[in-house]
Amino acid sequence: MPKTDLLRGTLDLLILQSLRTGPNHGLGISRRIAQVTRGAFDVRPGSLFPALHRLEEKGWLSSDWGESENNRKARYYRLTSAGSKQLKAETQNWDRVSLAIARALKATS
Amino acid sequence: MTMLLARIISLVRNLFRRERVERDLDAELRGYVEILTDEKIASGMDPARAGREARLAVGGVEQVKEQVRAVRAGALLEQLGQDVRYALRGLRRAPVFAVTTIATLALGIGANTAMFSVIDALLLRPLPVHEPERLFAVYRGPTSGAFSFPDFRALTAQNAVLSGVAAWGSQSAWLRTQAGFDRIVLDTVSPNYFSLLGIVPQTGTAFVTTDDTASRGMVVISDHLWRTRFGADPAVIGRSIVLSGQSMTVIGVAPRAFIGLQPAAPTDGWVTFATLSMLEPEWDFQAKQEVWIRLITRLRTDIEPRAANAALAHIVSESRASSTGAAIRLVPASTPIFDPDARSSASRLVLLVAGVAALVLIIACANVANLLIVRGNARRREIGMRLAVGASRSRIGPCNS
Repeated sequence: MPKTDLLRGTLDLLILQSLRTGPNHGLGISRRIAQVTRGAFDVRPGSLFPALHRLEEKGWLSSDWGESENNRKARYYRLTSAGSKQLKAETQNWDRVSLAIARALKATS
Repeated sequence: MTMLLARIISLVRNLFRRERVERDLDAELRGYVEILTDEKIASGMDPARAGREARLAVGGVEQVKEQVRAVRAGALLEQLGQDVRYALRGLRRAPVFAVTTIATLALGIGANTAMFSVIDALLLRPLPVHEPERLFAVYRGPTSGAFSFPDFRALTAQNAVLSGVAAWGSQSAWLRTQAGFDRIVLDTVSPNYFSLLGIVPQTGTAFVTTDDTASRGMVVISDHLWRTRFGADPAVIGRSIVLSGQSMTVIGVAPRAFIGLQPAAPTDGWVTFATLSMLEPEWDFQAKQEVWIRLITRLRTDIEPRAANAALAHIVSESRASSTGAAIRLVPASTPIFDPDARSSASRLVLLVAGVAALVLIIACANVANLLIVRGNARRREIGMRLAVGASRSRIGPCNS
């Protein structure tokens, strides 16, 4: 599948969504995003880590040190309650936008 | 609210526990590489190659770290601090360059500041009078601001557009002091001068407006004269002074800010026309051919300046008082810059010097720019190095062209 450019703001949404099922570390989050989008989005560390830190500073994520499956020290991010709220709001907003775009495209064709 | 709180906590943490935050970031990225390496080894890759490929996948650990730093709270503050320290290091490393640049800029800026102060005082600062925006100087033609006494009478007689006209003219006079004589600038004014401008003496009174003869032999002195010649003594009111051989009585001291209508030539004292005939008994200053009076007027609040100009042109052409046919017009007198006379002579010289000062600053800037270009060229290798270790172009930019 061809790689797709991330829309502005969608990376935050994807990160929040990927953490809904439980805490994860950076590499895990990037893997999960690739997996659920069937490889459409490959989030590189250069955009992943700044986004994680930004979301944490906004209070939507919190982080703790933990051990990975093969006993490596890793930073685990988890969704905070503010993050859950934000995810809900952004999901609704995304639904509205994508529906509107889809309608607009159908109308012109 | 919680978001703001989170932001503040992050800011405090980032600023005061920077080393800890940096260590955490290091460890986090190392963990990323390690897990990736482990995975590659588990899938059967040679360990050395696995490590290298994992690091390649990160795409430059230092660049990633710098990008993370840039999004953190207080990043701007921190960067500013770094930039300032970096700039100071740069200055210390090249003291000759630093001194040359600072001295060049100081010269350019200093000259301009000084000249601006002069221009501001002479031309830009509004006169310290009541409602300066309704105050106008009367001109005939483009540059002539001088009128005769009959002209003044004619303008005073009409009050359709003006709420008052005052006249003034500058002479010099000799003030007798203990040591001898001081030459002072003495303005002869119409009795309504101070009331029209809305200026109330800080001590004593101004002239009686209704009757000029009542003000015969009375003088209002400036704050400067009061301080320098009379030691700011409040008892100066009522005292006798000798001006050009005539004994006068001081009746008031003008406010400190008011130095007459031509700040370029500050006035030391004011007398009325009645006193002028004492000082200059030989001179028929009221004659039609004696064109020496300058007129200042206050427009009625319901009249537009343009309408006033039309009305005045009519009045003066009817009175035939003006010796030339040129039209009368009103020039805003709120600040001296509008006044063609104030702009001439001394002020013109000041503007010329100011122009030179501006030129000096431009040359100074060009010199500094040249020095910076030369230095930037010499530092290309260093800048390349900084880019390679993760500095973004915007961070390099401000320090270098």
